[in-house]
Amino acid sequence: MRILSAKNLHYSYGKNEVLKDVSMDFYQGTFYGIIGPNGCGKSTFLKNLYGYFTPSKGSISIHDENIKSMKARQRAKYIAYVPQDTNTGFDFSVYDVIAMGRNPYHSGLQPMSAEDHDKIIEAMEETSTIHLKDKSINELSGGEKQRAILARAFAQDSEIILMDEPVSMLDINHQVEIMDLARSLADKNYKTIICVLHDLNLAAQYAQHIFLMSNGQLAKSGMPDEVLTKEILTDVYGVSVKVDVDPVTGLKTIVPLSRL
Amino acid sequence: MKKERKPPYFLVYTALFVALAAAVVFSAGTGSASIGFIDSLRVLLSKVPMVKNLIDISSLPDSYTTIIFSVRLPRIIASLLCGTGLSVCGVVFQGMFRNPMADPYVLGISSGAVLGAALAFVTGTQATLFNLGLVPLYAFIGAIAATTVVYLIAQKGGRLVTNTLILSGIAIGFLCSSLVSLIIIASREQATRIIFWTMGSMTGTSWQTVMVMFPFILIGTVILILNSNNLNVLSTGDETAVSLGINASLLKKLLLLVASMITAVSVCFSGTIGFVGLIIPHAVRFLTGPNHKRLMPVSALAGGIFLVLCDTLARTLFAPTQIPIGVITSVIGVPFFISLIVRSKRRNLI
Repeated sequence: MRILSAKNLHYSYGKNEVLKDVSMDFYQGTFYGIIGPNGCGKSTFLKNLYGYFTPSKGSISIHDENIKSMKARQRAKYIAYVPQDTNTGFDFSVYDVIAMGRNPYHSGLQPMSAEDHDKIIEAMEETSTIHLKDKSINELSGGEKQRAILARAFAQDSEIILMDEPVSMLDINHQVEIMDLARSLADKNYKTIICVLHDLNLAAQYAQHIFLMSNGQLAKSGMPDEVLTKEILTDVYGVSVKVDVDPVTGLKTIVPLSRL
Repeated sequence: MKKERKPPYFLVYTALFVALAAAVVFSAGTGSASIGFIDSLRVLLSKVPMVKNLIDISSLPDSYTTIIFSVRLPRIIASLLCGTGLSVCGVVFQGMFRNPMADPYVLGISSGAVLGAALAFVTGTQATLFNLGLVPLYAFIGAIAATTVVYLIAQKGGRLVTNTLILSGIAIGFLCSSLVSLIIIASREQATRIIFWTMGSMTGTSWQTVMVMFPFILIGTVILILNSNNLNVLSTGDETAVSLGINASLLKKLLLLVASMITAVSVCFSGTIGFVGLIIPHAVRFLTGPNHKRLMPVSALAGGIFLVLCDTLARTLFAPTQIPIGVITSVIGVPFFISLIVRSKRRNLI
């Protein structure tokens, strides 16, 4: 089922056009990877999807309803976002941070309902953060913090979760932990995950469908095997790469080659 | 903080209300005519419906009633409103800007108010408006004008960028301060009044003052408290706030408008009382944590109590000479604040 669709999207920062005619469709329960060189517009695209930026041309629709006509609260019930910068500012408890995921379902000083509380507990169980709930968010390690932010997105109970380079600051153990978690949200909970990734090997390993962006445009869309080829990557990134199939995992591995 | 031990908030609020009432009674009974706590309580209760029939104050001099109701009480209530207003605005500015250094004056409100007041002093203030004098009016206009200019500089296509807002606030603040210096040099006879005004004083407050302040500060504070949840989310950053269903630019505009009005009304009668709007939010945050649902109402009460007590000291410590209340807030506030910082394990304020 098509859940989210961007049609002929344009976006500019001032005179600088960052997105040029980008169209992508997203279906339920799929893990999408968006890759591309720095400055290709990946993050800007995500920010358009959840309504932080308003496209200068084109449209975004969720279940065929244009998000322009939605209130911020309503939009947030469909789309959650895990930002690149997980700094939450003040010293909130982990519970308070995760509970903010329920914000779209409240107004004013309305107290939490039993349902809200259940969703928060469920989110903490899914992300194994329940033992952290009374800790201050600023005391957590990078991996724990990322899990807590993912729990907040889960508590938001949205069909779509956007992630902007969720693991670029983490060691390989925690990278795998977070990526496994995100992928299981797609497989087990039928969430649509749209994840901007720098690491092409992670994209090869986790994404079921890859969008490759270049210069604000969609350069290639397809299964990892179709997109992650030597020719395409060399062309878009401007660096020679060696692409192999790992004999153990059967997945593509990408190694950039030094110019020395 | 290992385990968040939440104080029982019902008790906290009860204790704060009792403390507030006690501070008011104490302040009303203290001064050049010493009335004392018990007699002050009796005089005050004698005007409260329901219990007034139970209180017999015929044994007390009539002058007590006059002193308390005509002289001290309006000033006490004005201090309370001022303390509440400045503290709540401090909470809002710190939360909205995600900056522990922010206070209600960060957008040039105080400098604008001083400039307005200084202009009123030098242009002659014999004229009055509703018996209030022109100084508050000029100060209010100055405060609002300065903030409006800051806002117009910082807003870009409907989006409000926090750092631009703070920077233009500093710039406009400096401009206003320089103009005030110029006025002081050009008109030396007004210099003392202007400088005194920048340190704040509750001397000129009356029932009329209270009547003007009360609706602004009450309604404003209620609006801000109703937005505690939104402010929690906003304090985690604009991007996150939008993704959690907050219209961040609209919310910021609302909070700015309300907080600026409260701050302008708070300072225009009493001068720019420093430090309250900075330390009360921090001190309270040590107790309640950063959740604005608790931080905001507790700060409102704590700020009111703090300023009532400070003003009592300001008018009694070196009586009959009145000390600027800003001096008291700093002299008491700074050591208290430093002790909090030193003793607390929660050193990172943000």
